[in-house]
Amino acid sequence: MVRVYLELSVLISLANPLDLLHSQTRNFMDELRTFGFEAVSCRQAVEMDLAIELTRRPLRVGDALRILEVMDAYEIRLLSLNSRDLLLLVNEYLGETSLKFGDLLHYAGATLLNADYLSSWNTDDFNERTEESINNVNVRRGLKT
Amino acid sequence: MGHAKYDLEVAAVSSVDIAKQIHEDIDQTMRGLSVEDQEIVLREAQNIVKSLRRIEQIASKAKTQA
Repeated sequence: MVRVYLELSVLISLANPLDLLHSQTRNFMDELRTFGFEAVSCRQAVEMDLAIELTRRPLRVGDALRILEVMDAYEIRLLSLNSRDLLLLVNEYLGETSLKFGDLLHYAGATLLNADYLSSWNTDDFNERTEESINNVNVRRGLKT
Repeated sequence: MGHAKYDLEVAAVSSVDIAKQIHEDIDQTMRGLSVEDQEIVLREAQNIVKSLRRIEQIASKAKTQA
């Protein structure tokens, strides 16, 4: 089965009907379902996203809960990884790219979960150029590119 | 209105801007920590989300009973 990894921007837009990309995200999710693709995300990366934002910024509890609810509703699987493996990979990526730690948690999650595709609306940080830097590390470590 | 961009119920919000800000905040927290400390932060984040889910379950139960 084709495994598609969903990054935070996709989850946020799916959870909020007023988001600029909400309808496109719903259509995208419907297409994934039609093709029988598996939608996944990394538990640690998503939990970090939600927790940091709740503690440091005024993201409301209800907004975070809605993100968790839509993940259940759309059968997006939150898969756990070994935290140390995940962090060691993120720290190795940090030496190759100027991306933020939060972005790299998702890149590392997608890699270690053997995702076939990574989907994001944030094309500034998730694009072919950054993917090349990530894949340089993955090739060295014999991981999926 | 500095907080508006974080409020998912404000019209015309951009998931991209919100996600970028969140990932920048994570960067400020995690970069420079030892892997051991980063592991602790991930574990605490998990606890926060667990508590959040538990609060929601209790609140839903209370609403159903009312």
